[in-house]
Amino acid sequence: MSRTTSFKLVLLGESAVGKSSLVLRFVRNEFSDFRESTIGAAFLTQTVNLDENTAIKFEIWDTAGQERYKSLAPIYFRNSNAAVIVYDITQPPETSFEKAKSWVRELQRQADPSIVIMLVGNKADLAANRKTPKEMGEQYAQEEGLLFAEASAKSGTGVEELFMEIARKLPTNPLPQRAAPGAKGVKVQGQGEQGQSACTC
Amino acid sequence: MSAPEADAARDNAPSAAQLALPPTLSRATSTSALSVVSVESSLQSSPRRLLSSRTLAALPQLVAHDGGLVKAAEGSATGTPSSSRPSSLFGLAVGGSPRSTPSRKGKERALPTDLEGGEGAANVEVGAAEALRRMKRGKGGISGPKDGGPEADIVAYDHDRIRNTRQYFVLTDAGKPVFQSHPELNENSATDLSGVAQTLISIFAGENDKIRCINRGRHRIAFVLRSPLYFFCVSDWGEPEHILRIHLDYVHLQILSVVTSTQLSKAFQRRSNFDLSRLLEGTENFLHHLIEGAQYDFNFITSTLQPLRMNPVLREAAAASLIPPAKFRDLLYVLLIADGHIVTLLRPKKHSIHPSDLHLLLNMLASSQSLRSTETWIPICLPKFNPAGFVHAYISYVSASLGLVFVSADREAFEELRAWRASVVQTLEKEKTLLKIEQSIPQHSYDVSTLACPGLLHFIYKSRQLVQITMPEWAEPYHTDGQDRRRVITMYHRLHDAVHARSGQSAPLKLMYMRTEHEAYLAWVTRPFELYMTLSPTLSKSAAVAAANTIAKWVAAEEGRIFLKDAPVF
Repeated sequence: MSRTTSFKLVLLGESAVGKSSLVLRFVRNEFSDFRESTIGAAFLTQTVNLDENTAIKFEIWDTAGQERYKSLAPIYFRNSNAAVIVYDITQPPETSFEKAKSWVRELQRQADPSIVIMLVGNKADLAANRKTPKEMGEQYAQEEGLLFAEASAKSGTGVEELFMEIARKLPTNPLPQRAAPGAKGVKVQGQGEQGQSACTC
Repeated sequence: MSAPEADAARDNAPSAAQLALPPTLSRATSTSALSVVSVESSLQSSPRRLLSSRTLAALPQLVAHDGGLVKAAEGSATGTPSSSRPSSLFGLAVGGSPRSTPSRKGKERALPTDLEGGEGAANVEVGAAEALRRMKRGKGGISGPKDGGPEADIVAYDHDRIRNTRQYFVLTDAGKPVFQSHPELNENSATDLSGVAQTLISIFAGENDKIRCINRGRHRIAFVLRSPLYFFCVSDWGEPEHILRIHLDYVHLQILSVVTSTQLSKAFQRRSNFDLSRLLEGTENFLHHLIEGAQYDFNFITSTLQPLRMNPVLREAAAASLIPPAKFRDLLYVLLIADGHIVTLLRPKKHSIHPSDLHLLLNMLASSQSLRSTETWIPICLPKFNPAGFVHAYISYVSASLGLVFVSADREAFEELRAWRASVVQTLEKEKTLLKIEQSIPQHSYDVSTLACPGLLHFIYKSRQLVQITMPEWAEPYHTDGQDRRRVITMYHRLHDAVHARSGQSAPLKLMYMRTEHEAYLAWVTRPFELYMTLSPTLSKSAAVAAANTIAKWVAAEEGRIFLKDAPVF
């Protein structure tokens, strides 16, 4: 009988690079050319079988890429075991790729040091319009010790594979690292984030 | 409204009111007439409680009296659309000479351009109008439309649509465009229009005045200034100014729900020419949906809700399953939504919820399809609760039409709310409550014929205690969102304006009757309710009064189904 271990995974990246599309391809094998922007963060789960004895359940935070949500991102990545940072290969590197790099730096600063980070260049089906070379992503990932893949949420190429690759990197032996629900632990507040909570009670 | 066609019973003219009513009832109603003012003013100043458990006073009754409480007005009160094409979108002179559209039976002043400011408006009027014309001719400081550009190059605009479409604009106080509801209907760019608006506003500001409204011909442009943002709306529906201002206030609230007032002022302090549209990215459809909903709306105007019409026992059962565990200390609201209508709403003892905050929540749910397919955790600012910060909404749909919304002030509450949701759904499913609610959805809307009241075409009933309304489906010819429905809703807006004295009338009215060639209308305000009715114009006054009483009785009998009463607090 297989044993299921749950892991938290967060998707980060500039808006409209295809974070939700990658997740929906992975979780439901669906794709739509016209997706509305994600607001806040969507929560989805998907279980993959690593081998006969081990299954991995991904609890996925698909975050909105808009600037206004930036200060809320730590809510989602703080307890994450893995992060998928997405950029759009059809955009020039100074836009979404640069943004991806800033997410990497943010995670290196603020996330759990053991977090598995995967850098993904999405929209590989549009390679003819490529503006960010594959080598650029590969090289950066190598320098920073990240996993790297190019994928296409539209065609499905590379999507399942990238999540499998993350699954293989995750520690399946120890207990899941995230805090159990209910045990909220110490609230991290005032760490350079503006008071976002509206609680006036 | 000082419409000469309408007669009305004024609060400050008790003799008129008493004439209309038999002695036994006049006392009761004149009490309610007296209280109207104070109730209104207390509503203005104190936060409105949506859910009050006060019991209704005895049902008021309206009685027609010989001689009539009202002299019916004959003739047309609503203007029929004139066939003249607007010379430009705003009806403001572009190139052509300002043409005065014939006024409607003296109801509006026929000034070609009538600018309304606060004090000193008359003095500034000429200056501002002149400045605007100069700018439009390209002689002002701001680049106007391309001078004498070949008109043929411009796409053929759908002038019928332009005529009937209210357009909404948002700009920064530096004149930068933020949002425009119908860019496809405009010959001028948002940048040009925002520039013109900003200049007009600043001309008035220079005189320590605020521009409120421009009336020209059939068009009205209303302004709402909420620095760092300005809002304006162009309409030719003929509604009172305050209706447009309520719409604009809602546009403002919608923006605040995405970008808090704190974020706004910070962003603009840093850079006065900050591009806000970037921060609003991805939420444009919320604004579009809100504006679309506002067009035939009566909820925004009356600051009310229209819950799902359903069996009250079922509603109570649903509410009972939704009472949260005491440990959720930062939980604010718990909502169950069916097909966009509230089934039940639970709140902490210490907080009431303002209807406009709820409208923003409901608008968000209705504008986003993707919320239906995943669990979502959304920071949202509920401006009447706290304009400066976010609360967090856990949204999860149980089926395509049934949604649960838990609003918490704790941004870390997702996991515990998600776990609680699972147990809530289990309880609701065990008792088949969800299925039964699902089955109530098709029963929500009702036909005006349900009331078996010949000549009654439509009505809106507002319970003042519960801050909720009910109204039947729009029947033919009002079932499409065309001219007929527009006429009726605009009439309701005018009646609402008159009974509440929103346009500087000397006193609010208690009763108002109007007749046009198309319909007759009756507004009736009592302590427990406000009633707005559309009737066949051939119906006698006594039949109209009988219809009003029928509605009041019907609602009293149906109240448990129509309204959300006594929802639990926690």
